[in-house]
This record gives sequence, C-alpha cells and structure tokens, in this order.
Amino acid sequence: MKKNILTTLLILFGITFLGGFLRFYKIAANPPSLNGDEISFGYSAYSILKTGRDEFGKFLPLVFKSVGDYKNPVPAYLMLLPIKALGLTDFAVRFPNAFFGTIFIPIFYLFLLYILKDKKLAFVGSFLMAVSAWFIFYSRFAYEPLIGSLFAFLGIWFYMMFLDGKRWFSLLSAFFLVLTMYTSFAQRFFVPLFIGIVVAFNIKKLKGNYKWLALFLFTCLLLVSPLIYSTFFQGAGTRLSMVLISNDIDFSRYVLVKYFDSINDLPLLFIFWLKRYLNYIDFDFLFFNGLHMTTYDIFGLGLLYIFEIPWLILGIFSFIKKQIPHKNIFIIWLLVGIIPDSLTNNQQHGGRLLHIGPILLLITTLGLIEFIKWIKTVNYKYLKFLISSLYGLFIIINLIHAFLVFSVHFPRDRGEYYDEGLKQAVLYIGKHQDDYKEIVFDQRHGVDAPNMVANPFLYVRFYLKYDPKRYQDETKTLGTDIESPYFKFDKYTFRHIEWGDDKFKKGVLFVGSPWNLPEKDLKKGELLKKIYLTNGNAAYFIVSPQ
Amino acid sequence: MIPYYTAQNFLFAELIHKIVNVNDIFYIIYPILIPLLIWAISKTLFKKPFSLIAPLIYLVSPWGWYLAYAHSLYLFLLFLTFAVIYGVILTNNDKVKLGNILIIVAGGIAMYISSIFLIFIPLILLLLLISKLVSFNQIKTSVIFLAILTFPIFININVSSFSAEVKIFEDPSLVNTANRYQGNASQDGFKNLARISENKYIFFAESLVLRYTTLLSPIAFFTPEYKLLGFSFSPPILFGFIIPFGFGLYKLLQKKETVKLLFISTVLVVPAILANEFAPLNRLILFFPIVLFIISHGINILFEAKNRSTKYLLSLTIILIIFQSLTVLNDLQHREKIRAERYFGDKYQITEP
Repeated sequence: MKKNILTTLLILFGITFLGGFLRFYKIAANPPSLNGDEISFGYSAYSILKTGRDEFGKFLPLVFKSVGDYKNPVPAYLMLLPIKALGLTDFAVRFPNAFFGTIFIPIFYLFLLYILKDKKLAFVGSFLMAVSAWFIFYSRFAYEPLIGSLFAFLGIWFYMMFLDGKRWFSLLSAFFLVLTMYTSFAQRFFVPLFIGIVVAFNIKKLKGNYKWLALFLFTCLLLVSPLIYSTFFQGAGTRLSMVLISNDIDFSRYVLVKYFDSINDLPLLFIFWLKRYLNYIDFDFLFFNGLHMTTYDIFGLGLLYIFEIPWLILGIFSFIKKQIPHKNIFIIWLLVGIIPDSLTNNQQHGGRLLHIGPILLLITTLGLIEFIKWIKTVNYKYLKFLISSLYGLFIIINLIHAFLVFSVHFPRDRGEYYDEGLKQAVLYIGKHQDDYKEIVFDQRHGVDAPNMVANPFLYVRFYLKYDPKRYQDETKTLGTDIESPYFKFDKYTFRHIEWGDDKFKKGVLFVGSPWNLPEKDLKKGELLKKIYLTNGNAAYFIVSPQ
Repeated sequence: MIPYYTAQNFLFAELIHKIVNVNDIFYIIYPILIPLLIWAISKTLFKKPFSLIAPLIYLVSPWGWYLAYAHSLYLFLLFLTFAVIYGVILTNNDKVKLGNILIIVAGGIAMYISSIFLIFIPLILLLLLISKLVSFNQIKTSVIFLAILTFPIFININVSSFSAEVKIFEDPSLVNTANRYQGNASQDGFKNLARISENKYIFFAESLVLRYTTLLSPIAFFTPEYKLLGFSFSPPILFGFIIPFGFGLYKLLQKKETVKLLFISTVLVVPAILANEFAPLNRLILFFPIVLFIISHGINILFEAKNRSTKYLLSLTIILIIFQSLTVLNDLQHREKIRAERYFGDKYQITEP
C-alpha cells in the first residue's frame, strides 16, 4: 500500500517536474521580451509594494487603470510576492503564470482521479497537460487567462463536489468562480453564464440542498458586487464595449457592407456569430496554427498537437459512450466556454479558451486510451509493431517541430509583437541618461513601416525601477492629439520623432526605429547604438545630434 | 466574370484541340435533374415521406443554386456522380443491366470531361469492391466498358492535361516555408532537427491532412466561412441542418458497416484537396450528397424518436432553418449584389474563361 502511494507520488512528481521544466526553462528570455501588459502589471505591483498605491495614486485598487483600458487586479497582486522576493525583474513578472501553470498539472491529476476513478487515465491526462504546447505557451508569460482558467477549473470541480453532497464545497466553488472574474476578462462573461445554465440543468440534483444552493448564489453575488460596481461606475467596462463582435471589421466590411447601426442588422449579426462559434472546430485553429506563434501562421502550433487528431476524434465517441459523472456539466462547460470569445471582434484566440482546455485534454486522454486499445486489437504482430513505430515516429517528428517553434521560430517571428528591443534601449538609457538633458522615445515601431505602436514609458518606468512615489506625485504632461501623441514625465518624452527638426537638438537622446532615424541622414558619431531583434532586423537606433 | 469551368475546359475538348459550344439550356436542365436523382437514390435508403427530405434540403440550400448560376463544371460532375451512385444501387437491387448502363454512361462522360475523374471513377468502383459493398460480378460490365471507352483518352493524355485541375503540387509556400525554417534553425544550431521535422515532405503531408480535415469539417458546409463564388454570405447549407447532421452522423458512426461506407465516401473530397484554393466549395460540392443523406438520416431518427429531448432538437432545427431562410432571403435582396460587385467589379457577368 505504502509502496503504491510512493510510486504514485513519484510518477506525479516526475510529470509535474517535466511540466515545470517546460514552463520555467529560460522563461525570462523566451518570449523574447516582456510585452506591454506584462510590463504594466509588473510596475503596478511594484508600485503597490512600495507605496500601497498604484501608479495613479489609488490605494489598493480593485481595478488597475492602464493605457486605454482597465486591468484586472488579481494578476498584479499575485506578482507582489515574487517581486518582493526577486526584485522587479522579467523572471519575477512571469513567475506567477509559470507557477500556476505548473501546479495545474497535479491538480488536473487529482481532478481526473476524482471524476474517472482511474489512476492510469489520470496520469495520462496530467502528462498530456504537462507537455501541452497550449498550456506551456501561455504559462511562459504573464497572461491572466491562464491563472483565470485554473480558478475557473477549481470552481467548477468544487461545484461538482457540491453536487456530490459535499455541501461546504459550494462556498469554495463560489469563491474560485468569482475569483476568476477578478483575474481575467476572458472568463468574466463565462462564469455567470456557466453558473446560470448549470444551476438550471442540475436543480433536481440539489433537492434537499436548496439552502446551500442559495448560500452558493448569495456568496457569488456578495463577492462579485465590488466588481459590478467598478464595471459600471469606475470605467472597467470600457474594454467590453471595445471588443464586441458588432465592431468586427469583417462583419462591417464584407457582411453588412456598412457599419452596424440598427436593430435590423441583428439577424445577420446572429448568423455571423454562429459562423464564429463554429469556427472553433476549425482544424487549422485546433491543430496547426491556433497559438499564432509563427509569421503568416504557416505550420506553427495549434491548441493540440497534430498527432492528437485521432485521439480527439476517438475521445469524443468515448466521452459520449462512457459513463462519466456530471457529463452535462462538462458539455455545458465546453459549449458555454466558447461563447465569450466568439462574441469578441477578434479572430479566435487560444488564450481566451484556456478554461475549456481541461475538457479537451480529458477527451484527448479518453481517445488515447481508445487508440491504444485499438492497436492492441490488431492481430498481426508485425503490423502492430509497424503501426506503433510509425505513429511513435510521427509523434517524435511533431514534438521536434514544437521544440523548434518554441526555441527558434517564435522568438524570430514574433519578437516585434512583444516589443523586443525596448528593454535593451532602456538599459542603455539607464547607463547614459546623466549625459543628456532629455530623452525622446518614438512610440511607433515596426521593421519596415510604422505599423505598430508601443508604450515605451512603461518600459522606462520598469527597467529604470523608477520610484513609484515620485511617479505618483510628479507633474506629467499628456497631449490629446491622437495623430501626434505626446507624454512627458521627468526628462523622458514620448512623441513622434521628426528628424528634419530634431537633428538640431543637441544634448537630447533619441530612440526610434531605423526608418524615422535614417542612417543616411545621420552624421558620423551620431548613431550611438543599434538594437536588433532576434531575427537580425534592426529594431531601434539610439541617436544624439552632434 | 465568374471564374468557373465551362465546356471549353472539358478534358476531351482540350485533347481534340477544339472549342466545344454547349447550349445554355444544358446549364438549366441538369441542375433540375439533380434533385430528381437525389430523390431516386433517397427512395432506396429511406421510407416514403423521409425520402423527400434529401431533395428538399438540396432545393433550399444555396450551394447548388450558386454553382448552377456560375455554370460550375463540378456541379455537372456531381450530377454524374449521383448517376453512378444510383447505378451502383440499382445493381444491388437486382437491376444489374440498368445499373450498369447508368454507370457506364455517367462514369464515361465524367471521365471524358475531367482528368481527375479518370482516376476518381475507377477509385470509387475499386473501393466499393474492396469494401464488398458491391460484387465484381455485378459491375464487371461497367468496368470492361469504361476501360474500353476511356482507352483513347489514356493514349492521348499527357501530364499537362492534369495541371488544369491538379494544383496542389504547385504551391510554392511549402518549399519557401521549409527553406526559411531550416535556415533559421541551422543558424541556431538545430540544422539536423529541422531537416527531420521541417522538410517539404512533412509540410506537404501536414497540408494534406489540414485540407482533408478542413474540408470535412462542418464549418465548410454550414457556415459562409469559405464564401460561395468568392463573395457570398449565404452558407452552402442552412445552419439549422447541423443539428440533424450531428445526430445522424453520431448514429451512423455507431455501426461498423456505415463507418466503412462513410470512410469510403470521403474520397469525394479528393478533387477539392487537389485544388489550389484552401477550401474550394466548387469542388467540394461532390461531397454534398453524403452530407445530404446524413442530414436526412438524422431527421428521420429525430422524427421517429419519441422522447422530449429529440422533440426539442427538432423544434430548434426548424426554428433555426426558418430564421436563417428569412435572413438569407432578405440579405440576398439587399446586399448580395453589392458584395458581388465589390468582388468582381461592377460589370461582372458569367463569361467563359
């Protein structure tokens, strides 16, 4: 018995260790740079840690104001501890995601064991999660839906336990489900929809437990009320209105052939939404390019590996046939889980679907077991060996490709989208800023053209560890012209660089893209540093007029 | 100009270097015959009132109408495929002579007008034989006659005859991607790993799997994701039918024989895989009959099942179909012309390429 437990623990530790390694290995360097959201969260946490207030001077806020939108509080608060322990570093910012992504694995094991009562299946499922490109990718940078999906998962599991007669779990379920809503926008709409439908479908099962159901609902309402207040009265609902499907460019341009402006357009919007909803069973998204890790999305990685296609298909049949407790909750979880993302105006997004990840992995696990059973039924020994070997080879080839996507192609293809180069630029400034009276940053970037806009002031604050108290108190200048954005604090100015005029400003350090600081227009000695992307293209020039 | 095949592109026209003029009436008659053939096949598969479902679905689906409007060669090939299928059914129902005549005539014409069908018709017959859905004795006359009939084509045909229809091997992005990936990987010291897992053969195999699975996914049939004629927002089949489709498919996949049949039927997507478009609805229409019969089977079961949940599903199906029909009709009236003009330019018309 003891030996049995020890073996179980050992295997589980091995799987978790493997998952942890894949999530933590070179986490600060790949993705190649902290993106705007990570930087923003990191500095907010730093500011809270140092002063108890965010950068806008708000005491322990429930909603974090950011650039153009509002951010959820939980990710920032979860960074407090790692930043306290490790300082304001890239690793500290990414630590919570990698950590929660890792502990998701043993939790998923326990869940599978609880639901399927089969240790082998639970091991297989947790192993698939440990090596899942989907979960690894979103664990390697500060991306709140991953943590949100873990909380949602716990909330749903505890609700199942509540249905199984463990009444106190109703409170835990309420806590985690609502915590999800404070963690990630992706799940904010999913949770209430899920609760409503699941409660309606399982009301009979709760006969005799209505008091506990009322307590569950009351706890949910109580915990969510500050969020409701902040959404409606403190501007946190801004993001929702920005991302609704009615603003979708495809819908306006190709379907409506005008802007959505009337109730008469609703039927067509509904049809468009149905199309969007069904797009989630697109094989290209699921197995080939759903993670958008490569340029033009050619031969990248999907939410699941290509070798998992037959497992998923077999798994669906196994799931339907097999006696699985709370099957209706799983179905609601899956079908409702897609709705929030399908209502947005962006293309389908693997990150915003992480909360349905556990079901897809459960189904894939069931399919893998069916697949192994099928191979065992092959009568001819050599044929069995041939099929197994060829499939094994296929898996290895697929995993090598996944490794290359993560380590080679993703940093090269997507570095620019993670604002690569800004860190090096700011670190250079940190060393030399005393020699200049002003530092000017151009927000526009892009290797060939100004097709992207970054927020370099976030990087300046973060990498120079700018004193939060000083930042809160000092006067900042903000321009209102959208065509020519302007922001200034201390000696740092963020504006468009016009080299024709700026080249006469001596004692000023300029940081901009090669196309707004053309090398041919620079005098000898003016170009102080070139900063390159992983793919070898020049990202930024640091220049000072002579 | 709507860029679809017309008579000029018939294989035999190409082989004899002559322009074949086909009267417009031809493009009106055969689309009308298709639902009749569907009904004839449907009668052998379903009981009386349910045999009408498949032709009705065909009639209310925009797919056939749009392609008929564009004079699609593949719609005509669909008509011939239906005729071959009906011929096989007849041979199974003791009408061997009539069945064989139908297979020979329809199969022969198909092989004379499309290079893909030169391989495709023998492949279908071969798969039917291997899976023992029909015996060789039943169709041996067809096999012999088709071999004799198509002999002149095999003498005259050359590789370029296939190039008009088989475009998949011309995709330069596979080689470009493989080269780019291998170049990047070798810079980082992973040259050998990239050669194993990121070569053009692996990518070609992956793209085949992707095309195959995409073409078989419900998105292609029930949503306007891959636009009809390149511009339309009408779905090939109305979305509401997805419910009986899913239900019918699930039931069919529970029987070994029907699984085999369904697997064989996926051969019908091969011409679409061979195209240079990602999901060519023009060629994919050859798979339409399979979807039709799965939906009919689903509706059949939903009607006959007496429990409450199936009634709900049936009601939902009907509501969705009515809702979408009204929306599509309204949309056609108000926006479809604008979309077509945007896509083709404002002086578009059907012309021969």
